[in-house]
Amino acid sequence: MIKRRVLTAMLAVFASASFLGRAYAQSDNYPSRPVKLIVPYAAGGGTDAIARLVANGVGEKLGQSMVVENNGTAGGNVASQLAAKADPDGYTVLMANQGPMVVNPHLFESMKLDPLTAFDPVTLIARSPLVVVVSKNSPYKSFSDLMAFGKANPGKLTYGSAGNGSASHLATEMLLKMAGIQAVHVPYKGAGPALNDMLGGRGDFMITTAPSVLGLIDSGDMVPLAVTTKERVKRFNAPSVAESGYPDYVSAAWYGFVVPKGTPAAINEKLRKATIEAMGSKEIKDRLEAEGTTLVGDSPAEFASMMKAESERWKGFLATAGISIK
Amino acid sequence: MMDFVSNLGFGFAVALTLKNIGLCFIGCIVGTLVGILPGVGPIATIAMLLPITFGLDPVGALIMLAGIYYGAQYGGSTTAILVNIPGEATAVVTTLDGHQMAKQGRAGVALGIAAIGSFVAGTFATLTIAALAKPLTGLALVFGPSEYFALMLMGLVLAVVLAHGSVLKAIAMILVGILLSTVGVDIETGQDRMTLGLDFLYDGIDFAVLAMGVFGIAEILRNLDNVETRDVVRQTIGRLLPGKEDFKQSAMPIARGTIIGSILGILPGNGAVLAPFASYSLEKKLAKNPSRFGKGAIEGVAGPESANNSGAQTSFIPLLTLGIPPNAVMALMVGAMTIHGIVPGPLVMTNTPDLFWGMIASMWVGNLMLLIINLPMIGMWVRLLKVPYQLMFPAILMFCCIGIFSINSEPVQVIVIAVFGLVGYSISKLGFEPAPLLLGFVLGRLMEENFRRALLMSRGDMMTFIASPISATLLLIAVVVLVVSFMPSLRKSRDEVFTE
Repeated sequence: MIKRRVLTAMLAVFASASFLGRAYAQSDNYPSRPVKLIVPYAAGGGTDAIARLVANGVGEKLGQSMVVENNGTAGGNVASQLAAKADPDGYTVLMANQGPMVVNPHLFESMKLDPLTAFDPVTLIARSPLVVVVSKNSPYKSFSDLMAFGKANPGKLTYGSAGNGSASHLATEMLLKMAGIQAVHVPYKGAGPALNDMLGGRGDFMITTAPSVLGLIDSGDMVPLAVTTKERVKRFNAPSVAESGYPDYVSAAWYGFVVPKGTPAAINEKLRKATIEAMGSKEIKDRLEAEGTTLVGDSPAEFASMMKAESERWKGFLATAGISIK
Repeated sequence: MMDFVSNLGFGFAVALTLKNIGLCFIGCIVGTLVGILPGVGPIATIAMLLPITFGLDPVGALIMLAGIYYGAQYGGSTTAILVNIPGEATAVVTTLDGHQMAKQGRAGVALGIAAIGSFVAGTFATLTIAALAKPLTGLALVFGPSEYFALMLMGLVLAVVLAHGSVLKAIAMILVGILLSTVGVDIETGQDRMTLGLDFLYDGIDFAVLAMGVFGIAEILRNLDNVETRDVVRQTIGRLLPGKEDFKQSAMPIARGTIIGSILGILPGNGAVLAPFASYSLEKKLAKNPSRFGKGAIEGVAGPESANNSGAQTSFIPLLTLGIPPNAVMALMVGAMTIHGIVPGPLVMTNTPDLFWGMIASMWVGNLMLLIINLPMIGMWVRLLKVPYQLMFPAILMFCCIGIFSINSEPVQVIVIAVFGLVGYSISKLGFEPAPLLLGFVLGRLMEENFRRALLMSRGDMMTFIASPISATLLLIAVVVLVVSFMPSLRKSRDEVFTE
């Protein structure tokens, strides 16, 4: 209670302070001060790394720095709420991800906000696969090996995840459901400790984000069996799950910018242009592609319809799978 | 062997450039400061400084961040010894005898032996990493959930030895600690437990909040209660550095602590937390007169401080050789590598040898710097104790509040330390001790998570805990220690360990 009251007070102070700034929030001199990028994950994580890389480039193009602020509380929901309540003047941008934007509303019973109506999309920046990995000593040499064993032996497979309700967990559950496989879920706190047990042969497989396992794949300690994007990814020598018998399966991590609802279209467009220009720079392109990430840069309408479709898909899946967080 | 020498030589060539020495120095200073300030831990600091390192080259950035991490270990013991506040889980044991030494006017000796022990341990651990990092990775991989559970259980049984009063009361405190560790969202089911519907308990109770309350605030209340003891602290200032006799007593504890810490630090599930506790228990068991422990025994500072520092260093092994972070600080280091475009993993050593060997060499350089920074400061710290208590305690309180607020910018956490302060004061009035409670809290969470993971993997079969030779051995040790302490015929030896 106390927390909420203080939060409200703080927001009130912020609101009145930025009210003064609003007069300057015209598109022709935007941005006249630094732009804040709210990242709904803690500093040091995979999303944070991408956010900082892109923010650096966008800041250069805008001629004002783009400052990253992290808030990973409650699965990123606190960050969404903060961003939604900010002034729609283009000086607050939210890093939009699968979890907070399209999964959490159907996962958290206590979610107070609908991210699809609270924000205006700017652009989808990039899409990155999750990777189905096994240890190099695993008996499963291909994705179909793994699936065949799982189907023949219900309840025998064990998989690790980065946590209950994480992208890693949900991507696996969706696959298991489509394939009709029963497997035991062992949640960890983060991908690192989970990979350690998979590496030691105590779990059978794991679906995890590309950056978390890249080093182990390059050294040959973990073997990628499939990627979760619709198409194959050049970086990994593996088929996509979709082409391996589950054409409807897709579960990519994605990163985009959204701004609070009501941000002037001209400012939104200016931000979008700067972002796409920044994405074209060699530094950002090379770095992201080295992680198996595909750069996108679409229009607000395309980004909006993508999120809407994704939200529907996760809503249906989470309801039938009965996964929720109270 | 030639490889080892040339690799280390290469590492020192990287670490000893003017720029890297400077960054290492900044890291050590910042680390010492955040270690000393109660509540402001290395996690928050590294997270805040991460963006600043964006403009540096990756080697320099990581050298600086690593400096903050082990600098904080040095600084943390200063606060534990001087004002009885453990800033980190690993400094809890240092309060037991370290603060007692300070009360006896031996604060300088305690600080000195902590710094020297840490330096010896850091040197040994650095050499271990350089020589054995690769083969030791195997050890990290054989430790799974059942082994961790057994290790933590053994740790809790040994924790009974930490108490110097009633065994029953110690066990009660451990159980309360375990209970407190279960507050928050259930890792497996997503159900919230014992949160009383309060948002800030959703992610559980923060260690710093609990430790600062039951140790720091409670200590202030006790001091205000008891004018005599607090005047002892500020009036008797003994020698500033350890003497010959102190070194003789500390040599073996430092050696044993260093080895225990080095081994536990390698474990990827944050085994380093256990290191100081294990070292303290061992020293108390081995001591001719265990009753001195808890009353200012120098071995009780030397051993755990060495274990703490060597564990902090070797916990870089899983990060450097597998790219797997064993604790939250190492996870941030992974983030720092990623930001700089380095893929953490087994190939770091071959792809970026300057980073790998440069960082290892810089750890030793950093430890040397910390020794040089810390020894001359001891005089200043000790003089700080002369400040009248009516000026001192508001300052400690203020720093505690700022520190706690800085963790999550949550005002409510400041109120929580007040609550835990009252709890800590009441339990000490009732003759209970806070150290076993904190140990139960730290180990309880790890124990529960690993217990449940092990059972998930074995599909509920309890035999999994004795199927692995490692966990079977650890459990056997735990059982033997328990039996020994409760068997009437051996009662005499137990009393020697437990009575004051």
